[in-house]
Amino acid sequence: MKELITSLFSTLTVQQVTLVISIINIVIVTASLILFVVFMVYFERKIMGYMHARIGPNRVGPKGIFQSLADTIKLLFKEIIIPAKADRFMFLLAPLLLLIPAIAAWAVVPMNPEFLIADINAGLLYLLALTSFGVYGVILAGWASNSKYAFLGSMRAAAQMVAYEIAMGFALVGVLMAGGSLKLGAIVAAQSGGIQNWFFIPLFPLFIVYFISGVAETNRHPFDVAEGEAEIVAGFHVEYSGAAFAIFFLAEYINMALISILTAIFFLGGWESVFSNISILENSVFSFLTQPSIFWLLIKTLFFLFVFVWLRATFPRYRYDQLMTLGWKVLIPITILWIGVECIMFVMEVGPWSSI
Amino acid sequence: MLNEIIFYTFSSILICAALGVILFRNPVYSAVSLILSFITSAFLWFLLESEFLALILILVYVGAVMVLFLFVIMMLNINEQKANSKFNTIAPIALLIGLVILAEMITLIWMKSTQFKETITIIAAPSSENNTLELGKLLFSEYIYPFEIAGFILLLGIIISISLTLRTKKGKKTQIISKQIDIDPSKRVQLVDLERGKN
Repeated sequence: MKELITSLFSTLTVQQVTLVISIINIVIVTASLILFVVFMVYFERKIMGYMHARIGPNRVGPKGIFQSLADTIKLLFKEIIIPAKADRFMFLLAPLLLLIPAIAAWAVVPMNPEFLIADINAGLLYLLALTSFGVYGVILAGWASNSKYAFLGSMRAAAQMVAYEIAMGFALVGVLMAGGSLKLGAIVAAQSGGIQNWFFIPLFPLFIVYFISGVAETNRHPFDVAEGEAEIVAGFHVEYSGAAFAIFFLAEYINMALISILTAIFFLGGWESVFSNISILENSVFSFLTQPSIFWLLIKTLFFLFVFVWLRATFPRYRYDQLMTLGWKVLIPITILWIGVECIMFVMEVGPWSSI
Repeated sequence: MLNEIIFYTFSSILICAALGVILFRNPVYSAVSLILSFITSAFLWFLLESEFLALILILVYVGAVMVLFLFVIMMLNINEQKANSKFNTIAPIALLIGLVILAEMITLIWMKSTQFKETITIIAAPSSENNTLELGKLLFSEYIYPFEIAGFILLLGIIISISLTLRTKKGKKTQIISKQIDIDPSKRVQLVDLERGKN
């Protein structure tokens, strides 16, 4: 790609070529994320339908595949109603504050060893910083709406996100110790060489804690007390309609995809193949199965997205105090304990990092 | 050239945001402009290629401290009029303190600039160096004692604040789920034989 652009525009300097390549990459990632959300909604509704012994959407297009496109068009053309007593500026700013960090976090997510928008040294910290920033969208949306329900939803979201961020951060400390780097590409590289080297085996409790806090961070079922339809109508976005509501929806699904792909990268070896280092396969016609590729990453990501939907279809919502108890009194102690265990494993040289 | 443009853009945003913190009448707007000023100062650190400090600033102040700030401000629901009248009474004292700080800073900068005649240019770290790694190495070797002591002080702070605010109500009725599950049905219900017509 770099060669292509330098040959096309020979007058550009190196800096400008990097800029052009970055912009192209950003456009590719953003466009595929938005397309992903459209089909993810369909995927979710269809799976939930079958889990509930229903058919799900089946009217628009073959098997209802264009249902989400129809919904998108409907949402975009609806009027955005701003409540009379609402704070106009913050009311319109809040959805953007949720969407921008959700998309910006993808800058450091590598798709394969070559495709990466920004290769910064502290990629993992960057991710933590941006996911923690998303909470402002929720808080300000609830406050600016000037509605009791919205305000309650945003208060719940603030407390919940702060609590689960700590568990998430601690789980990532374990990954960071095992991977020996803050770069996501280096973390995947540390897991190469077969399924036995993937971090989910030595760091199994952290893997579970990370995914649970990821579900809580995205405010998805069973942790969606910020929305809580049965208690506070729709929580923080109760006053939003049309495109402003669509942005909340978009941000939620992009965050879901982010958590899924990060779980795959941190614990399931990213683009590494499930079958790598199996000599029978490597010597046969199926040797392409043992090669690392982006498809492995996408398969793992889709699996976690399926788990998100699965949780939503099967679990009842947590009560608020139980949710806080789980975050503070269960998940955080588990992560602290397991980091201690990991330290002992390091000293005893047990685990995939012993060969380093 | 590009660096200068970015620097001046972000520093002017930073100054505007800092002014916004004290000039907005609505406390929520003040808090939001404080968040903006934290983020822009983090960007300035990015320009110096000290990404660790920049990200930690966002992570700690924006991600945790300011969330709680906003939380408290929204819960208190400060009356704008009331806050305004208070501002006027405090203003002279605040102005005095501000002037003292300004004078101190000016003398400090002036003294420094007379001591070192050469202009100070801030040099970014070479990009090959991983400054997160370097910082970690330094913290855990040379500055291990101050680092650990700071950690213990923070831990002490956590424990003290919990013990100050923790109040368990007497006679509080909460479910103990393990007890509920472990209950033996034979101990719950007592079957008594009653003869008909006697009791």
